[in-house]
Amino acid sequence: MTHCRREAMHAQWDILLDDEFIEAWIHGIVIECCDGIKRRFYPRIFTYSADYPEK
Amino acid sequence: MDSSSTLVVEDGQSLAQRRPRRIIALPPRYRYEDDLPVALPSVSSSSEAAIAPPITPQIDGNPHTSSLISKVSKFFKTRRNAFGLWRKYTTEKPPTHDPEQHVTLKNLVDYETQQSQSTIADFGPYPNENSYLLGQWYWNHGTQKSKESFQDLLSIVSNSEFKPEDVANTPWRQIDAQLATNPFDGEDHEWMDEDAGWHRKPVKIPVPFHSRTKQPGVEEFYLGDFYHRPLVEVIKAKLLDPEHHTRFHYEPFELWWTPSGASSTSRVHGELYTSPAFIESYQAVLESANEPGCTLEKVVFGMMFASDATLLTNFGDAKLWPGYLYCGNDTKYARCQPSSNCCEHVAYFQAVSCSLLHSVYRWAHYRR
Repeated sequence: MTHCRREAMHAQWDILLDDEFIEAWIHGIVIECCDGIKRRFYPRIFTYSADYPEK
Repeated sequence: MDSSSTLVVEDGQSLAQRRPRRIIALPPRYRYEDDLPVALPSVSSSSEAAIAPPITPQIDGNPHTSSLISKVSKFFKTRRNAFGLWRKYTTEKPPTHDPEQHVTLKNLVDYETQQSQSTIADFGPYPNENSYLLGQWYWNHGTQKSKESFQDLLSIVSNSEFKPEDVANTPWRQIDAQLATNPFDGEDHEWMDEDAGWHRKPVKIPVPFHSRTKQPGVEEFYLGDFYHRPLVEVIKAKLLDPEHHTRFHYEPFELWWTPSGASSTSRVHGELYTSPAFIESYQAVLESANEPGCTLEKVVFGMMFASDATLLTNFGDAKLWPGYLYCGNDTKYARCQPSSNCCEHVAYFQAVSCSLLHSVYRWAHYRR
């Protein structure tokens, strides 16, 4: 039971954090902001506030 | 005739109205005008002296120490605002984009001003207000006639704004049909919408079985379909939104408080973009090697995930487990308001269902 729940959560996060996201994490995403300046954005995860569905 | 009755005649006031009123004093905290909230000091308001002069590196022959000193001493400071708050950037130059200069009193208070409510009225499928009022009366007043309902109808048609030509040509049947349609009718209607950007992927989980079960080894079980939006697309959409852009802090800073007349300063914590974690992460990104041939400004996009189970019905166990994404470059005061549209749905997590556990159990104990 616990194993299934943990695997389920990990499998879904594995899909969510896809290769495209990993690429953006390492190399950044270039976006022309609304003020006309191009910036390279590096996504970083700071918080994850959630219930723990694995329990 | 006494003098008081003469007074009644004179100013037309009764005895009760003329009695002296007690002066009720407000508690002291309300008696003085409170300071109105103000934005953080603007980066453009900083004087030339606000930039700390770099400390001359000591000639101790150690290149490592001297470079460290010169690196640490270069930062950009703003002036103090009315409350003694000031910003300290870890970089030498002021930020290229300062959201605080767009902050007005209106952004800082919850009080809705009258002007903001004067939006153009939208009557949905109804062509005008009178048609809407009649339609509303027809659908929302129950199936039986009542005196109150009749009064309501009279008040609609006797209103000076009411024009018979407004309702004469209203396509009532068409409007009712439009109201009755459910946008979520039809299978996969919403999910398969390309514009919504949702993706669907089947999820399988591996379950190991030990050697004493009937079928040892690892077996995969189908969990369900996982609906999600690609994170990169969500981030791009967020950054391209002009409304979010005005509020986003692309560079983190330290917020400090120096009360007037005090010699000590203290660090103020409160936002993700003033937190040590964000500054640390930003420094790491700055110090990392640039992409080949790229001289663009490097910015950290702070992601804050949240998720919580949501019960869909009052009875039964129909549950959804939505995953949300907030952006930490945005101020928390915007994030906490549902009307600011800061929260992005990124996923609907599938929970382990009873039927899956049942099939796992069957696999372990019985041969197919």
